[in-house]
Amino acid sequence: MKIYLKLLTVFAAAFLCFFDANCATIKIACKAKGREAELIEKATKEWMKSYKGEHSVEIITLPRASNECLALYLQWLSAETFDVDILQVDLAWIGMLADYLHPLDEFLSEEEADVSDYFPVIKKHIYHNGKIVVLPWYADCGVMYYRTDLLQKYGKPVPQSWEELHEIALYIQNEERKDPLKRNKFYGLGFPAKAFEELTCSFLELVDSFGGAIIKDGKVIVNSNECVKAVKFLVHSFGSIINRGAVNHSGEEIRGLFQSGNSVFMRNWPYAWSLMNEQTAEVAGKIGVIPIPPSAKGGKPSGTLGGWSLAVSKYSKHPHISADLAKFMTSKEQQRVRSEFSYLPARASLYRDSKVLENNPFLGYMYKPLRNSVARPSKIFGKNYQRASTEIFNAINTIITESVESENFQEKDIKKYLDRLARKLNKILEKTSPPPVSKKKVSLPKGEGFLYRIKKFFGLSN
Amino acid sequence: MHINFTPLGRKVKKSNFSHWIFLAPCLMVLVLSAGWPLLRTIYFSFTDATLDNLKEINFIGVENFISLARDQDWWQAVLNTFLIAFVSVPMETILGMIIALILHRNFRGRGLMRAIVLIPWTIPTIVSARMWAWMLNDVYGIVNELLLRAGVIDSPIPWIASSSLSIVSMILVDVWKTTPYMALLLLAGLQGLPQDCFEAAEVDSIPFGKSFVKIILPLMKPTIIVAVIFRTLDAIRIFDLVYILSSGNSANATMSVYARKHLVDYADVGFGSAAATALLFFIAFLSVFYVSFNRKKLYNVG
Repeated sequence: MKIYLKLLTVFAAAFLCFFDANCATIKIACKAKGREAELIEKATKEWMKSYKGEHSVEIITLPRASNECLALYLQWLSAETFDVDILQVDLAWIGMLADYLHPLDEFLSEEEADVSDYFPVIKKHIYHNGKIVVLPWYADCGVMYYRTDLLQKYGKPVPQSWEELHEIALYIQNEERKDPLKRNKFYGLGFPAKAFEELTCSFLELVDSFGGAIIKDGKVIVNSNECVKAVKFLVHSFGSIINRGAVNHSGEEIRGLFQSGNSVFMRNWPYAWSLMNEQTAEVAGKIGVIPIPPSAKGGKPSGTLGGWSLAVSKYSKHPHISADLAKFMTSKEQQRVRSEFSYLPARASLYRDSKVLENNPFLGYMYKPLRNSVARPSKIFGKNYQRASTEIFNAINTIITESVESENFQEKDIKKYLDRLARKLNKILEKTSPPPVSKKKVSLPKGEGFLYRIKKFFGLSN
Repeated sequence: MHINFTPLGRKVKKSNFSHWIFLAPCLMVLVLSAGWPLLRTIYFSFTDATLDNLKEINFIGVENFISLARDQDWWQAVLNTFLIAFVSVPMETILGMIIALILHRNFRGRGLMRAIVLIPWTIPTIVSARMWAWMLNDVYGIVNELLLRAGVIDSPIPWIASSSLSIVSMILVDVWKTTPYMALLLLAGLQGLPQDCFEAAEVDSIPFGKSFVKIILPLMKPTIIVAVIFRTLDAIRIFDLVYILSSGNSANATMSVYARKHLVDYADVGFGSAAATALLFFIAFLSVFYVSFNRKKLYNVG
């Protein structure tokens, strides 16, 4: 009965909407799964209430892997669809999607357009041609989780550097493996090395913590000494504290390893925190989190920024109302609510709010990693970022696979692979800059259309 | 002109045209759903189209194909695809034949058995690939756990992580999945065979091995050939299994995974279409080769 009533109201609303040009159904595409789906549903209901049901919201669930979301967006937007109004956008995609996004300045009041509260790295990514195109929703940042109980059990400190981490991880791994049940499953570090975007992120922060970079001042320096050192360290770790299978593990699989109590450390994103602290989890209440450590004590810690934001599609029929919903969803209050489920606010002021911190100490741990976060080179590669990222994760994945499997692998091969990667990245960079202005079609001269095309087809004409 | 007979034996003349009218709706659907996308893909493969710019495109001739031929990753993908196809199809055929022969016999619960055997084939590939990915996981996968407990291995094997093993795993999962399909096709063929040959063989008390080689195989040849062609062409397009099980490294990609990456991830519709067209070329070449090679045999027996 209840469902019929519900349907009836929906139909009635749709019927009324038909005559009332002011009311709209806003379609929002976001990663609405599990806990996040509940949060989003709650928020949109609240927003609908504020309009007394004048507008309604439809949630479109995106695929789990973010590069698949991007592919979906490109298909939607290139088809100029109005089936979607609001998009959940990774800050690294702005270069690829900006042409399709509605500039938001006109919908923002002076107060709302004030971006000083956002973290500096996020701030850099919300503009396109001087206009705000996205509203930051939550921040993401690569972090290192560790088991507090295991460090205590073996009297080890929280590591201050990669070197120390390796030492502790190896020690605890060897000790834990003395238990026959853990002999074949316990590892020092969980590290996602599947050839996907995530590997580009974890590689970037590793390189950054070793003082290197993929690109600096527009120059590719991925084959510099610092980078070679970083990769050497990674390869070395794969031989000792990381499981071989990690070559095909993404963050979720690594979480399975850590959550079932089979590793001391884990590189992952903040979302894992609240999931691993649920009552049913074996490690609940026994986890700590630190930034990705520097290579040696006293260095700069790191973490790749992977912030998410909401944007309004250029083809939306109701940009004004969509912008209003996006504003509501990304408001400070909403970010506070979400922070309790370890979706990190993009606004720095929330991390200083003692009331918020009291409810959610996790935010306190995360402030430092976020301040030190490093952005992916998406702005420089623009539309070709995906290509560059693929080259990067392919190269790193190949190096690791080779080093684990081939007996002939030597450390000097790392340099060779990175040189090759640098050449490829340079090629992509050449293709990208100067940034592609929308291509104008060279119209064919009249009169020789068909023949000209055929000639051109076989490459006979210039 | 066709001449048919009614049940009463009268001659009925039928125009050549009428069957086209009945076929028209079907053909229309085929042209719209298969022909048009196909032609469009071939058309795009000669252009510089990108996903965000499908309208203002330039003809660039065979440039896409030249860069495709120069790309090492593509040839690696071609090699992987053929390795998977040419190893898994013979295995599926042999296993399928064995299962079909068993199911062809009369025994209690045969109907139930036939239904059960089909289960791997009925599970959507994405689901079964995910399932296998968990089972083959090196740390908490059940396959390693069982092997460790049985004492067959003493340290876990990274089934889908090592570059050499992952292709073996993919082939095994593909065999697990598609053998029932093969068995079904072959069983249908077996049931269509004339029973008198078998009865005669039984009367002459010929051993099973001999009757299999001398009677069943020659009679089954057309069915086997058709089944193998079907499966090979299908195996060359393999996508979902590889997409889920492999580590995502270009070294483990197949042709369709490669094409998808360029088409969708890189938004390079022109180049991606060229890869898809090249895949189509491989399939077309193989089917022409198969059909012309087997035509004589097919007609002689069938």
